[in-house]
Amino acid sequence: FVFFFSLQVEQVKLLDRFSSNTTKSSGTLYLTATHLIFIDSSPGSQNEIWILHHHIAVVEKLALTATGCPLVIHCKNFRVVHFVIPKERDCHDIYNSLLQLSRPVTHTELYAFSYNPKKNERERELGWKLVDLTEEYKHMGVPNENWQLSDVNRGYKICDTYPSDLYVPRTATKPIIVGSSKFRSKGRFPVLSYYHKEKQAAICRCSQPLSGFSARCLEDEHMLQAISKANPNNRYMYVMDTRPKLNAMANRAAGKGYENEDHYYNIRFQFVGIENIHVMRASLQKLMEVIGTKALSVNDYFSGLESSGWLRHIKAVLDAGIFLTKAVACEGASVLVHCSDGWDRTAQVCSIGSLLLDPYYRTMKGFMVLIEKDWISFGHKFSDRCGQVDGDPKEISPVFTQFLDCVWQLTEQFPRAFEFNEGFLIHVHDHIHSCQFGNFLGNCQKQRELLNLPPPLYLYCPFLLTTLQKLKTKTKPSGACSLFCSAYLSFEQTHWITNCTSHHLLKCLHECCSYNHLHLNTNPSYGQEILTRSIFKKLKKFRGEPLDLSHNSPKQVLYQRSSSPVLKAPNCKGEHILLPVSDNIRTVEGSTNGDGFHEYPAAFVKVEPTVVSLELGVARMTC
Amino acid sequence: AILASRCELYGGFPCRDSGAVACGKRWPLPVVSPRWLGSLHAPEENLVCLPPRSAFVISPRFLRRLRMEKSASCDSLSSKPSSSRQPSVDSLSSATTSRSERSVYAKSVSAMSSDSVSTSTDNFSPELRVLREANKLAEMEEPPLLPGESIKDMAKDVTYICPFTGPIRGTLTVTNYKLYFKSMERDPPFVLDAPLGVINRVEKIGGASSRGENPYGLEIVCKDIKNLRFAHKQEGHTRRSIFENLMKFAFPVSNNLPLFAYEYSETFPENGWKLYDPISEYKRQGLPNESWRITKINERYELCDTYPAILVVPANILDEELKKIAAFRSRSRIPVLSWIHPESQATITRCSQPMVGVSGRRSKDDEKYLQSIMDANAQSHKLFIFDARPSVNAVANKAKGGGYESEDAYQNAELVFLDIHNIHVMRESLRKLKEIVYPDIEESHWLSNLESTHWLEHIKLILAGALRIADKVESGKTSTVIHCSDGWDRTAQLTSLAMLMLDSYYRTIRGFEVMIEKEWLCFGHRFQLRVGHGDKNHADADRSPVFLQFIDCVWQMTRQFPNAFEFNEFFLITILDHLYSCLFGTFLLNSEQLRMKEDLPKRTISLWSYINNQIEDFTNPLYVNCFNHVLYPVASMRHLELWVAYYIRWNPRMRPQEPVHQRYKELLAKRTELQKRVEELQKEVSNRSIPTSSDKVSSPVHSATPVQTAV
Repeated sequence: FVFFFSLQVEQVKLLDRFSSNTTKSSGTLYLTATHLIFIDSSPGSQNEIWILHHHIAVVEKLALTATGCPLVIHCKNFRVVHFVIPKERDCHDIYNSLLQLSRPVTHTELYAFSYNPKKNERERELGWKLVDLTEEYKHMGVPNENWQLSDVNRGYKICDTYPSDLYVPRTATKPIIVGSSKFRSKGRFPVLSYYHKEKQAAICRCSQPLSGFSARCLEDEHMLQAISKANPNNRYMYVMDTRPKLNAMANRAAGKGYENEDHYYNIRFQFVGIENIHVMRASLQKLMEVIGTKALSVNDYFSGLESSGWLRHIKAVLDAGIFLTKAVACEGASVLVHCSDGWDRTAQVCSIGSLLLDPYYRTMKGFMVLIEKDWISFGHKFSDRCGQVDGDPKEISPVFTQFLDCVWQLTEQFPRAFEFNEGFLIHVHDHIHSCQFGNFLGNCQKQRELLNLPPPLYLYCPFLLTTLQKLKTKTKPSGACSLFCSAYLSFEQTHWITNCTSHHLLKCLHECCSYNHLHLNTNPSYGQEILTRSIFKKLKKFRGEPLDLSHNSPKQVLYQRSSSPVLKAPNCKGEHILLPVSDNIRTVEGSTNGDGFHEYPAAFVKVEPTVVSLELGVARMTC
Repeated sequence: AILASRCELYGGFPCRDSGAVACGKRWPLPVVSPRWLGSLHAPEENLVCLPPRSAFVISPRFLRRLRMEKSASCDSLSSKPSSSRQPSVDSLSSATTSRSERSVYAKSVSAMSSDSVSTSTDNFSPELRVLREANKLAEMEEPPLLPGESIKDMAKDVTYICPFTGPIRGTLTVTNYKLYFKSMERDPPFVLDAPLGVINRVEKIGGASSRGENPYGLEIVCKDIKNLRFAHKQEGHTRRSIFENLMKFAFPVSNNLPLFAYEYSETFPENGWKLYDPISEYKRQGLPNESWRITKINERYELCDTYPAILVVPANILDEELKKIAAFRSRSRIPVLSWIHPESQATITRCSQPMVGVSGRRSKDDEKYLQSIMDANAQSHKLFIFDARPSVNAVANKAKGGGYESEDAYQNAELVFLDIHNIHVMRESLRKLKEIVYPDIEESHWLSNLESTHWLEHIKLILAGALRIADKVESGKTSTVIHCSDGWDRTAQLTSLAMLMLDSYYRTIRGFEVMIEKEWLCFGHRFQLRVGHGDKNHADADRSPVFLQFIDCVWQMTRQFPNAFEFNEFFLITILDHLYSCLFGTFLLNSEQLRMKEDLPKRTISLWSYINNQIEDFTNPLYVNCFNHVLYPVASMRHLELWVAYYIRWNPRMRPQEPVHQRYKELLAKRTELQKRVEELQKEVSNRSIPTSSDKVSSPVHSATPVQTAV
C-alpha cells in the first residue's frame, strides 16, 4: 500500500463505549485516501483501527466538551467508534473530509478501482472465472430435455436487469417469452433459478404481473404452463407471492398485482407476507437503537428486541424458504417465486430454498455460487441497497444482511450442515459494503458491463479463498501457536467480548472480528491439525526431502473437510443420508489404521441431510 | 442396562435410535408453523410428527432383537423355573460392569429381557397376571425395570393427552420408581417415562359423570417444567388405584416409605461416595499453610450441625474462640475458607449473617476473626464482605436478630450488597417461566413474556455477583467473605460460581463433582427442603429452584466459554434430572450430618458412580485444559439466553434435529485419534532429533504444548 496521509491528528482519544473503564486509549488518527486509521500510541498497545471510508454510514460531530471535540462514526458493519479530538478545527476538517470521502458520487471512485493487491493478470482472470454459472447450471442438471439455455436476453434486449444467459422451459418459444416479459414488471419474466434433479422440480423467479384488476396475458399464462409441464412428476405448480396480501392488493391499483388463479392453469397461489424494504430498514434502525450505545443499562432489552420486529422478519423469510423447500422436496412441485420487482424478497426466498435443498450450497464455494447466481446475476441492486454511491436513501435496505442473518440462524440450528462458520458470513457482509472487489459493485449485470469491470477489478471470491487458505496454511509452529493461544486468551479478556457487542442476533456482524477466533468454536481438531502439520514439516526438514504425506495421514482427512471445495468442486450433491446413527457408535479407537481413515471422511466430512428442514419457534431463534 | 434406562429417563436425549428416526430414515422432516400445513395439502406420511423429547423411540430392528431375546430368555426360564430370577439379575449386572460391551442394544435388551423374567415370577398380583396373559399388547407395553424396582400398578386403555401430538392410547404402569406409559398404537411405539421423584403434585380431573372428550383422568404436575395428563375410562375404575399408588410411591416420605434410592441395587465399578475427600481437596489448594489450618472441631457436628466435619480456619484462631464466634453467626455458621488463590493467597470464605439485631450487637471475637482472615493475605489490607441480599432485605433481617456487618465495627472491611432476591422470588419466577414455556409458546410475545418472568435477570444478578467476587480475588488480590441470610442458598451459588471462574480444576468433570459435594452438599444446602424429595406438601414455602439456578449459571458460562469446560450440556441436564429422580443418594437430605446419620454412602448409590462410569457421554469435545485461566463471563442481559435445551426440552419443536451427542461422540473420537497421531509423530521427531542437537529435542514438545492447549 502507498499511504497518502491527507490528514494526521495526534493525541486523539478513543472512547470505549462499553466498558465504564475510564482509561481511554489515545493515539494518532490518520486519514488516507481509502481508510481512516487510528493507531494507539500508548506503549505496549497494538491497538489499531482501520475503517474503510465506504464502511462509514454516519459521522456525527457532538457538542464540544472540555477534553475536546467528540466525533462518532457509525459503520455499515455495525461498528461504532467514538473519538475525541483535542482541537475543534481538526475535528471539523476530519468531519468534512469524511463526509466527502464516505459518499462517492460515481462508481469509479470506489475502492475497488484503486485496490491493487499486486497480482498478475493471469491470477486475476482466474478469479473472474472461478465461479462459472454455466458450469453451475450444468452441475444442477440443466440444460436437459425439459429446460434449455435461451439467448433471448443476449445484449439485454428483453430485460436489462437479468443476466444474458437464462434458462427457460424448452416448450417456451421466443414469442411466449417476449409476450410474458411485457406482462411482467421491469420485463422480468419467469426463469429458472434452481433445478432439483431428483424430483425434476424447478424453482423459478420473476417479478409481479401487470395484471391490475382484470388484465391477462395469454403468453404469460402459456409461460407458466410451460414451467409446470417441464416437471413431468407434478401437474400443478405453486406461485408464491412473497409480499403480504395487502401490499399485493395495493399494487393492483397501480396496474400491477398478482396472478389470478382462475386465469392460470393448475397453479396454487400463496402469499407469504415478507415486508418490504422500507419496513426492513426501519426495523434494523430500531434494532440498532435497542442494542445501541446506551442500551447496556437498559433492562427491557427483550421487549425492545421484540418490538424492533427484526426476528419476526427473519422468521418470515425463513418460513417462506421452508415452504418452498417443502413444496419441492416433499411434493415435487415446481415453484414460481416473485415479489414486486423480483430482486429483493425473491432473491432471499430462492436462495434460502436452494440452501435448504442442496448441501452443495452449504459449502464455501457453493455459497459463493449461490450469491453469484441468485443475487448478483439476477440483479439484486447491491449498489442501491448498500448505498455504495451517493443516491436515494430510500433505496437503502438491509435485504442482504437479512439473508446472511437467516443463514446464520440456520448454522446455529444445524451446526454440522455448513462448511463455513459465522466468520465467513461476517466477512461477506463486510465486503458487501467495502466495495473492495468487483463482485458487488453496480446493480445488475448490464451495469457492471458498462462499468467495464472485468479488466481492472479484483473479485471477491478468490480473495476470500486465498485469505482462508492463508489462514489454514499458517503452519509455522510458532506462528500457529501464537495465533491460537492469543485467540484462546481473548476469552479471558472481558473487553474483547464487550467490545464486540457480540450479543445481538447479528452478533457476528458487529465487529471486524479477527480471523483468529474463527475456528475456535467450531473446529476442535484444528489445533491438532496444525500441530500435525508442523510436525510433518519438521520431519521433512530432518529428512531433507519432500515428505510423502501418505493418504492415511490425518492431515489429508482434515483437508478434505476444510478446503476441498476450494480446490475442486465438491461432488456432494445428491442423496446424503445422515450418518447411520442406529448403528453402533463408530468404533473410532481402532480406526487409526489406513482403512479407518478411508472410511472416516465419508462419514465425517459429508454428513449433511439433503434437505435441511427446521423448526422455527421464536424461542429457538437465538438473539 | 444403564444406557437403556438412561435413554428412557432422560427423554431419549442420548438415544441413538431416536436420532436415526429423526434425521436419517424419516427424511425429510418438514416441521413448520402449522399455518402452512393446510395450504400445502401435504400427504399425511410426509408430515413427520416428532415425538416429544420424553419419548424413547424404539426402532423396528430393536424390537426384532428384543423379541428374539425374549423368546430365548423364556426358553431358559422354562428349563430352570426355580432359579429364574437369580440368573437374570446376574446377567444384568455383568452387562453393566463389562465396559468392553458397548452395544446399546445388547444392554437394553438384557434389561428388557431380565425384567420380563423377573416380573413374571413374583411382582404381579394374580389379576395383573391374568390381564397380562390375556393381552399381548399389554405385554409389549410393560416397562423395563431397574434392579430393585417392581411394578406396583398397571392400567391399560389409558389415554395420554400429549400437548404436542394429541391423545395416545396405551398402558400406564406405576412402579416404585417411575411412571411409565407405552403405546404400541404408534410406530415407533410411544414411550413416556418419568421418575416418580419429579412429581410435584397429582390431581384428579373430572368426575364419573363428566362429559366431553377425555374429561376424566389425572393431571400430574412435575418439577422439571412439564405436566402430564392422562385420561381414564370412567367405567374401568383404573383411575382410583393409579391415583392411590401414585400418591403412595411418589411421596414416600409422607407415607413413611423409603425413597427408591435406598432400594436401587445397581453396581458400578467406581464408588462415587469416595470421590470427595475434604483433606485431599484442601491439600490440592495448598492447605493447611502457615496462615490457615484444618480444624476438626466440628467432627461431631457440635459446633454447627449444618457444616461439614472438616473446616479450614485462620491459623491463629483457637478452637475455643471459634465457639464464641459461632454464637454470633446465624445457625453457628462461622466464616470458613472455601477457596484460596494459589499465588496471591486471597481467599473466598463463606458464612451466615451476623446476629447484629436491632440493637447493633458487636462481637469482638468475630471482628478479630475477620481481621485475621484479612491478615492471612499479605497482598491486601482490605477485606470485602459480600452480602448476597438486597440491602432492604438485609436491614429487614435486623428485626429478626440478624443483619449485616457494619463498616464501623469491622476495620478495613467494605460491605457490598449483591441484590440477589430470596428463594420465594426465585420460585415465583420459575413458576412464571413454566407458564410461558409449557406446553405452548406464544410466538408473537415470546421475548416480552420471557422478560416478564425476570428469570434471566436473576441469573444475571447471580452471575454478576460471582463475577465481582472473582474479580476482587483475582485482580484485587483481596480476600472476600460471602454470606446471605443463612449462608446455604445464595452463598453457595456465589462461592461455587466464583470458584468455577477462578479455578480450572472445577471445570473438569471430576472437579465439578467435587465442587458440588463441597460447596453444596457438605456446606449444607438444604436439598431435601428445597426440592421436597418424596414430600407431598407441594406448596411448601421452603421449596425453591436455587440449585437449578446455579446450574443455569454454569450453562450460561459454558455458552460463553465453549472450550473451557470438560463437561457438556448433557452432564448438567443429567445432574438436574437426578436432583429430582431420587434414584441416587447424592442429593438426599439436608446436611452432611444427616447423611452420615442415615449412612447414605452405604445404603444408596452416588450419582457420581453412575456419571463417572460413562464419562465419555458427558465430555465436551471442544474442551481445552488451560490451567490458571480465569474466566470472566459477561453478565449482561444480551449475553444471556434461556436454556432452551432444558426448559423447553419436552417440546419436540424445540429439539434440534441433529442429535448433538452424536456429533460430540464423533468429535471426541476425532480428537483422540489426532492426539494419538500427534504423539506418534512427536516420538518420531524426537527420535530423529537426538543425533542432531540437544536443543531440538525439546523444541517439538515445546511447540506442541501451547497448540494443544489451544485446541
